[in-house]
Formats: sequence, C-alpha cells, structure tokens
Amino acid sequence: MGINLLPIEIDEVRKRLRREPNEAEWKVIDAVWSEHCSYKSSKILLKSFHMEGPNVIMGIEDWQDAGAVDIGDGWAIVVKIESHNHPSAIDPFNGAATGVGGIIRDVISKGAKPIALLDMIRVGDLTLSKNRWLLKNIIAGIGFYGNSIGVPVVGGELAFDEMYNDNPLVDVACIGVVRRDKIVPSVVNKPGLKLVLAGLTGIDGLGGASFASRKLSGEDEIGAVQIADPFAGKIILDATLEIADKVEAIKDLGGGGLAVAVTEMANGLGVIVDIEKIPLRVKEMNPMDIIISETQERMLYAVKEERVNEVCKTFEQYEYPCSVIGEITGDKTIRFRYNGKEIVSLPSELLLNPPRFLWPIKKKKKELKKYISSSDIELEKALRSVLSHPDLVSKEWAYSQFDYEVNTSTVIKPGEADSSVILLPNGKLLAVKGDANPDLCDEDAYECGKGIFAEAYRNLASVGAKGIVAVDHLQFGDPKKPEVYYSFLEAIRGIGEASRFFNIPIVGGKVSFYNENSKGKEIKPTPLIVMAGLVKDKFLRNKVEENSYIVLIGYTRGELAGSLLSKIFGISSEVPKARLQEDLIASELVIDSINNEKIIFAKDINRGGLAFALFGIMTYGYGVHINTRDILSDTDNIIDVLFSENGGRFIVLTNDPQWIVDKAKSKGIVASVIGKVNKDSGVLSLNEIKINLSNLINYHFNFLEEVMKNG
Amino acid sequence: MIYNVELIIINKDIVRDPEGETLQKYVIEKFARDVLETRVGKYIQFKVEASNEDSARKLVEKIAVEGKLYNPIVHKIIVRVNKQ
Amino acid sequence: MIAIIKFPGTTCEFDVFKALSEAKIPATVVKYKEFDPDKFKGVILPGGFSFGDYLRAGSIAANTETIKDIKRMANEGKPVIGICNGFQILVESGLLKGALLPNLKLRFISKWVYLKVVRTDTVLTKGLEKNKILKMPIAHAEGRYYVDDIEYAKNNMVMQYTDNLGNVTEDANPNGSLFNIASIANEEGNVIGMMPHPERASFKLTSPDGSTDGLLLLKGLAKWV
Repeated sequence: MGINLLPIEIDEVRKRLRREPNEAEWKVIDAVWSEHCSYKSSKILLKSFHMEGPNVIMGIEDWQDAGAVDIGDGWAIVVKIESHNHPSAIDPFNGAATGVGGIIRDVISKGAKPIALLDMIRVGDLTLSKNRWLLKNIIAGIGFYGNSIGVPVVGGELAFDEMYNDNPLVDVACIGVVRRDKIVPSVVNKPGLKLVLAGLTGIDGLGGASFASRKLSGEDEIGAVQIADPFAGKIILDATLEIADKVEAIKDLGGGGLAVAVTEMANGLGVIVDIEKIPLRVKEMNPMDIIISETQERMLYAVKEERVNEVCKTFEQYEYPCSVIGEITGDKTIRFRYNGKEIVSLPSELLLNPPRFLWPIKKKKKELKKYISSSDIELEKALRSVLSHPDLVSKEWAYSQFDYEVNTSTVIKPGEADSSVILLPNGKLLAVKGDANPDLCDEDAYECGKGIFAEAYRNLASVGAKGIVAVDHLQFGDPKKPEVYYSFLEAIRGIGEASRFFNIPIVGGKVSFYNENSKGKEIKPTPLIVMAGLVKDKFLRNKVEENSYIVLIGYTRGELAGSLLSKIFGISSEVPKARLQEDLIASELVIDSINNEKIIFAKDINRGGLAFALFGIMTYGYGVHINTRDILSDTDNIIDVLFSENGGRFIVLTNDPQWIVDKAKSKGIVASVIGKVNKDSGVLSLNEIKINLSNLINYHFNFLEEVMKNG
Repeated sequence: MIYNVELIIINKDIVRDPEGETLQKYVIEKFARDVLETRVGKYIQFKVEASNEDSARKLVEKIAVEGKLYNPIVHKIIVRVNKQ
Repeated sequence: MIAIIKFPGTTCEFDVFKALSEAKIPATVVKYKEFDPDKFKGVILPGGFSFGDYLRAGSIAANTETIKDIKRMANEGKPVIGICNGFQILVESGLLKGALLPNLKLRFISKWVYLKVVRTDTVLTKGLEKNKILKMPIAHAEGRYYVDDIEYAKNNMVMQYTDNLGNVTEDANPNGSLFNIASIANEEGNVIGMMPHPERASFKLTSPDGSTDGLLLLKGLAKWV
C-alpha cells in the first residue's frame, strides 16, 4: 500500500526531520497529513470564517472535533457534520452506517448526549440500477446505525444528479446536548495523564484516511471497508457518557486511527504508546497496521492515573475491552513502542504542521450550451416537468426507515415542514436544517454560498426559529485543478460573508475533496450548510384551511440560472443574487407572524420556485387560485415568475392578510395577497386557466416507493 | 434436469462479523467451550432447470453477481449443487 | 414500583420512565444483571435493539437469567409489559405465544398509526371502552405477528391496526401482521406485548395532533403499585 503524499510533502518531511522516516513512520505521516485529517488545502481559507460570538464555547479555533454553543440555563449544544462519500461508493451500507457511528462518537467525545441526526444524501439517476442499489443501502445503513443506538434522524435532504452516479455524497450531521460546565475537551495541556483505549483493534479500513483523500481508483478497495457494529456503538455511547466527568479529554478514533487520535489529543505535547498493550480482535497483527487501523467503535481517553481503574471498571460492567496503552509526555514527540522497541518517533510539531497549500485558481469559462428562452416553454409542460423531478418528490420512503420518535423529543416530524424541531432538556425548542444547491453553485459559487446560508436561515424562520449557529461542509473535486479551487474560494467567500451578515458563527465543519467519478469528472461544487436556531416564542405546525389567503412575501425576480427549470430545459438567464437584507427582514416578518398567531402555514421559496410552494399547499388535499397580476415581480414572463428560485421569499397562509401586508411595509419589504385556498382538490387556477395536477400529486407521494421497489 | 442450488453469502474471512461475534459471546459460549468462532451469513435456495451441474452452478453465480445478491468487496459466496 | 429493564442495546428505557412519571406511576430503570424481581410489583421491557437485535430481534435477551425471573413474576400474576423489542423478547422467550417476523415490506417502518382496542380485560386496557380508537407511533423492522393457532390469536389479541375510522383493512396494516394484530396478551391478561410505543404518545408537544393516547394505556398500571 503506497502512501499518498505529494513529492513536495515528502521532501518537506525529509528536510524537517533531517533523516529518512522508516516505513511505519511514513504511514503515520501519510495518515496525519492526509487532506481528510489535516485540511492542508483548505485551512488557510477557512480562517476567514466568522467563528466568534458571545455564545460560542468551542469554535473552529479550538479544532476540537465539534463546535459548541451556549443555549441558556446552563446548557450547551454541540454540532458536528461528517461525510463518508468514498466508503459509501464501495460499500454503501457499511459506509453510511459507519458515517453515523463516527459522528455520534465525535459528539460524545465532548461529553454530550446525541439527540438528533440529519442525513443529506445525493445520488445519481435512479433509472440506473446501481444508483438504486446505492440509495437503498445508504438509507438502510443510516437506519441500521441510528435506530440501533437510539438517536432519532429528524430531517435531511435527498437529491439526485447524474454527476453523482459513481460517487454518492453521504453527509451526516449530529446535535448533542451537554451541561455547559461539563463539556470535555479533545486535547490535553499537561503531561502525565494516562491514555486509556476502549474497544478492540482489527484490520478494518487500513489506509482509510488517505483513501478518503484521493480519487476512487476502481480497484479492489477492500482496504477501506469498515464494518459497522451499532451494538458496540451503543455500549460506547452509554459508557462514555457515564465516565465523561472522570476524564480529562476524550477523542474518537476515526480516520487514521490511533496515529491521528494520539497526535491530535497531545496537541503539541508528546505521547508514548506501547502497542503490545492494545487489545486486538485479530491475532498477530503487524504493529504498523495496529497504529493506523480504523476499526470502529473505539474511544481514547486521557485520564489521571488515580482514576484509571474507575474508568475501566465501567467498561468491564458493559463487558467491553478497556486498557491503558500509554501516556502523555512532556518531550513533544509522538512515540510508538512494540515490546520496548521504538518503531515510531516523530516530533509533534512536524505532524501537526503539514505544508498548507493555496492552489492556483482559474475562473471557469462558461460552457456554450444550446440555450432556449423560457418564453418558449409551454406552461403546462413546465409544471409537469419540474413538479415531477425526483428532487421535489415526497421523501417518506426514506425517512420512514428512520426511527424519528425515539427520545420523545421530536416536535416537528420529517416531511412536515422546511425545518425539524426538537425539544431540548431545558424546555427550549431547537430547529435544525441542512441545505445545499450544487446547480446554483456550479453557476456562481459565491452567490450560491450566500444563497444556501440564507436559505437555511429562512427554513428555520418558517417554523418560528432564529438561527444561532452553523457548521459547513465543503465538497468539491480535486483542489489541484484550478477551476475547482476557484469555486472553492468563491464558496468560502460567499458563506463567510453571509455568516457575518446574519451574525451566525460557523463553529465547525468539514472539507471533502477529490469527489469525482471514475472518468475523472469532478462533481459540481456542493457546499452544504447545517444551521440550528432557537424558537424564542411560538413555533408553527403547518396546516391548510379552505378559504385561507395566500400571501407572497418578497419580490420575485427573473433570475433562473441554476434553477430546476433551467436544469431540465437549458435556459439562458441570470444567476439569482443573494439579497441578504431581504432574507433577514422577510424571516423576521414570518417569525413575527407566527408569534402573533397570524399565519397557519409557512414555506420559504427555493427549489422549484413559487410553483412548487403552491404545489406543496395542494398536497394537503386542496386547490389554489392565483391572480398572477398580484405577484410582485421584475418580469411579466409567467414562466420566470413561477419557476424562479431567487431568495428572500416566503409563501404563507393567513386569515388576516392585511396584517401581514401592513407589517411587511412597516419593515421595508413587500408582501402581496396573491390568491386563496379552495376545496377544488388538485386544481391550480392561474387567473382564468384551470390546470388539474391530481396525477402529479399521486406521483409526488408514490414515486420513490415505486422506483425503489425495483431495487 | 432439476437441480437444488444453495447459495451461502457470508463475510470474507478478513472482514469483521459483529453479528457472529455477539452470538459467540452472549449465546454460544454459554453452551460449549469448544466452539472457537461463529460467523453468520445468509442462505438462499434455488430450484434450477439446467443441462448439467456445472451450468446450474454458473447460473446461480451469475445471478448472485448481476442481481447484487452479495457485495464482492465485503462478502464471499459458497455455491452447493445437488440433483433433485 | 415498576421496573423498566435495560439490556445492552435497549434505547427506550428513559422514554418509558418519562411517560410513567407523566402518568404518576412510580418506576425505575434497572440494568438487566441487577434485576431483583422480588422488589417490584411489575416489569416493563422497553423498546430498542437489545444485543444489537443480532440473530433475531429479542432472541439473545430472551435467553438471559433475567427472563427466567420475569417468568416467575408473570406466573404470580404481576404485570409484564413488552413494548416493541420487549414484545419481541416476550415471544422469543415463550411468555407469549407466536413470533414477530420481518415486516412484509422488508424494511424498517416508522409512522403514526391508528389502533382499535378489542380486548378490555387486560391490565392496560381495563377501563377503556371496547373498540376505542387510539393513535400511537410504530418504529420497527420485525413486527409481523404470526401464530399458527388462529383461535388463540382471535381470543387474545388486544389491539389491531385500523384506519382512522376503526376499520381493520389491509392498507392499515403496516407490517402484514396476522389479523392486523398490534398487541396480544396471555389468557390471564397480565402479560401484554405491543409493537406500538405508548410512551411516545404521552406528551402533547411531541404528538402530531396533541393527543396523548399512550397515557390511557400506561395508566392501567396504577392499580398495581
């Protein structure tokens, strides 16, 4: 198994170490310096993020596995996002399952109890049986792990694009709660502490960290397969939370195994590990392999000598292996010994400071595709094509495979609204949502970066919550390709600006490069934002009533680049600008309306535009009548008006439309009564035209179930 | 000719089997100390019309691959053919 | 005092505890190895994935010493309630007749369902009117109840899956259970197994429509403490 370092990095190692590392040491450096673990191509740019705030307890600066924010009453929430793209392409069931396992362990390593999971999945075209196989197993894997450990999957995203045909994106986010004064760090600051390892080590995932940091080679990738064992995961969860206040630091073992975990935990100090003390699942393992094995369900604890027995006693009661494998030293060197013989000895400073790269950038030339004008598209055809796109169908097939009720804290269930809402131990309500938009990011990564941040903010507002914290996941192709790195830079710029505008700190995140298919074509830029917010006053549980008024908040603009309509028909149009002030004020209006009990339904407008927002109302068993003249827009092209996905807009249902319109004006934005809900079920009336969408509604509810039956 | 073909799908020897390990630890070891290892797999039975044993075997192997009955990265298969 | 048993892999023990507290029934969570049957008036086996649900859901837990103790309690007439994984453990151990097979759709199903109470002589349903409709969530992959003794099933079933009007239909059956059986009890009515989770239908805030039908069932335990 070769190592994955660039020639320039190999030279750097030799120069700084002043000798040639042995084979075991090369493997350790390969793991710790991998893109996945070191963020070497992204760290410099990530420092531009707005990471501070009065409520931030642990942010990116601390580099401590998960960010934490104060939520009042002595409680804090911990947020983390992770991806398992490469393993899921090879073994979707275990790849997705171990993704859940890993993120749960990251959260418990802060001493926090995981209370909610989100899954954001992107796969290829479902007409290909391989993609159905991937999706079926990814969902089954997430359910397998999440359900077994008793953490509810409360929301997520499922979207499709043929660029993900060989390379599915599997993102999992997790929220945990912990008493503020009981948060456990991942790093130590003094020598003498003992290192205690829970779990058995085997040959799983050898080379996995560097596997995630390079392109899929298509060869027998079994080296990277990690088998999920949620039963062990549940034991680790329960035991770790029991001993959390008895240890000084906790670290989850993930990519790069022990090598990475002890190096990061030591945080510049030294470590000595005696490999023969590590309990093994497989007899006669090569000591090198033991160091970088990625066997799951293992945790590392830094414990004061006098408390070690107490800690291991808890694991004994769970019949789970626990042993002292080494200690933190003061000599700033990471050492691994086998039966007294030193086989790795590397300076912490070398391991923690890989060369950081700023790759060259190049602006992408717009491809000359055959574009048509949106006025050439017939209305009914547009409706049927867009509203039947798999991105917009009901995802019940997927979320019904997750136990979303365990923990009795899920207030707004999956599929009910644009955001999930869960009950926190202090009685407060937390809303959480994940958003990405690769089609838009492909057009303009900067506007898209701002756009998805604003979309998440609006999603939270639609249930009555105000965003307080975010994490980001940046998923791109090969960073050494200048056009990829350009879009990476632009996305960071957009997300960073939006984060400062809304004053919502980014407390953590992930970067996943090298996502491309077997032909070397990179994915569209897919940055993703997960945002959490608190409901200060009331929350909204959507319902639809006959004769309620339909009010459209915000201006509709003829900016269709990156929209679903454009994806299907190839339309020449402008990129929607993210007008953050409009997003902010419109969201405030919606929250005010909810607190004053003036609205019964709220949906922010994004994918599928106004047409899909209205369709959403119809899926409750109603019809809608719209006067298109009342839609405030900068264009009178009805296709543009119905399918533009520009931000800053909501659709709300109300029995007091004047209140909404007046309140909007007082805040400096617009709201217009555009129609009414009626009992003409399945019928969309635009002025005098009636279009029956009943069979589209059936399709909406049954598509996934039908297609996946032919798994 | 009718053949009964058995397809056993089980994790490759070098791949972990948590189900087998749990069964071994919590059930098997209560009954016998001589059982050294337990592994759990899936068993599928086919009734196949074929001209000879070899083509019956090859047919099931083909189905197992093309129908994705197993994942060759993680599993191995054992095919047993018996004349009906 | 009611005992709520926790096996390695059990996940719903605190939800059951919260719901019993809401119903004002004294209870405590007990780890399976520390369970002393003489200290309790009744026992609940909550939901989850005991021993990872490996081999068959509930099969490994059913073979523990703890279950032997619980059998004694059942014979003494004390209430023994199995919810979801608990129900699976009860059938695997023989405390209830029958088996819980994989759902017909061969996948995990999570949804809120309607149930009709068809037997009112059990510990939990005494005091409820016959044919009362309740709303509760299910979340399981192995919930298809099957028994080869049809008379036994008909006489002992406690709740059936129905539509919102109480009709026992195929569409309303989420997993293919015989006779749409969601819950069944022994003849005496003190050993009851159910796939739906009453503890998850005990709180207004987390209920889709504010109903708390789960409490109606759990309150039945009040007479036993």
